Amino acid sequence: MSVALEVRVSAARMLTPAVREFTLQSCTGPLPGFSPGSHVQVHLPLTEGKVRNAYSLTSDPADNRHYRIAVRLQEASRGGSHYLHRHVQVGDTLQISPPANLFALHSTAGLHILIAGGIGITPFMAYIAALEQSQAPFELHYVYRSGLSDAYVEELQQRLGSRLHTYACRPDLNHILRDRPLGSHVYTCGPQPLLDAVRQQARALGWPPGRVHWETFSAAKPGQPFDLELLRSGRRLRVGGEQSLLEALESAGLQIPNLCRGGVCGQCMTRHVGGKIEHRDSFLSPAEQAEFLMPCVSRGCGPCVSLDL
Amino acid sequence: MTDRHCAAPDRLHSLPCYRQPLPRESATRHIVVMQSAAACSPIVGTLEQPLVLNGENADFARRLHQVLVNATVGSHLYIMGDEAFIWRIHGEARSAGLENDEIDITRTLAGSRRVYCVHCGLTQAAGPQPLLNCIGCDVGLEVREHFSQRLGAYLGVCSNPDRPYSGVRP
Repeated sequence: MSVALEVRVSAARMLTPAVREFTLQSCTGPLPGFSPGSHVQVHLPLTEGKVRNAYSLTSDPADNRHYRIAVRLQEASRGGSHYLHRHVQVGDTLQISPPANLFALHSTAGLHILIAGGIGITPFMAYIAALEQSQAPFELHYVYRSGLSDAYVEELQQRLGSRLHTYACRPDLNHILRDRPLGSHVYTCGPQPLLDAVRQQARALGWPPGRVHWETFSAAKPGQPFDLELLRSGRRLRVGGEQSLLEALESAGLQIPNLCRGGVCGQCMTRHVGGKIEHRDSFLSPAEQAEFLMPCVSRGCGPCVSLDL
Repeated sequence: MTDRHCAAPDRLHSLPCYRQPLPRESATRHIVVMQSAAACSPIVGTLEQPLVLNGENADFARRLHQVLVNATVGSHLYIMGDEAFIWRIHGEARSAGLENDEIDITRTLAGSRRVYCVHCGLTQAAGPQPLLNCIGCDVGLEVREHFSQRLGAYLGVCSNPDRPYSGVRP
């Protein structure tokens, strides 16, 4: 496990009524470099326990003086974004995990087609900085709700000109993906229905999976509290309704490797040996789910779950 | 397809793996490039409206270039011929932007293969024999069981370092 970094909030501003941007500076030494598409986990001390939320880095990867993240306020969530919007002030220090990338650019692509929905614009801000520097051909298709989820839109209009295409509702994906030159790759980030639609349309037009890149930003959702039995140590734990299974394990002092905390990267895969599981990940196959679970998002839905830990 | 799709555990991962192509139903355009009419695989008859290019035709190189430049995502390429031909076309297709999993390679002719000399950097045509003299630097080469997809060639390494120019007898 990598050691957390301590950063200070050097600036904060509202990009829209629902999106707050933070600029983070290192309290110790230089910040680790990162590649476009990387995210950091921000450690949040909520009253129910420590929560870590993953946010894409929106700043220029070539600039290692600071990181920037943009946080959408999620009212129906466990409170991580609420804490960042309402409680964190300029000058505060935060703990973050070092950058990791699960949504990298395909370096040999001849054309990069970026499709963002709402706050899904965030990884593309770092993409655009890198693509502009390497003078790689790209275009951005940005779907947003005006005055709510339209972060960076004015800046992008000035920077990108005709390479920016904006939409108030789902764009015609057939039009965007049809008859594209051989070197094209498509990247999409946003709400799950947009991601599903892009992947489905690409498949229908004969795009192989290797040309289609996507990232969700789903975090753990609350559920029913349940008991946990750790077979190797014989310990018993209680997982609260607002807490993820991974957070409960971390609170108990266990170090579980993890990167995305959203059920996609596969790092935290753990063997379960008893109890009913509600699988919420998009990593394991149904056959694998019979044996393993992803504690970052999945939960027990019966009285007690036993884990091989 | 390449070796990562090869199930046989006794094969070296550094060798290319050839097999009969499977019809790609998801593809929207099928492009067949064959070295000659004799290299044609029966699969061609099962493809829906394939575009077929024959290496024996006079304007083959120009037409191939044109087809690759104008091709769009959703195209699938089937290459048929000997090893030297397959990997020459494979290289052109990759630089035109096709990915490995959009290309099926089928060795339908015995023919020649290419060998890269690690001493002078020359890639040359060669037969199936394991030893040859490099036509660039005259070093006696042993052809290793190591294939570069980027170069489309097998690795040729000096067979006798004590007497590199003594010549090899295939």
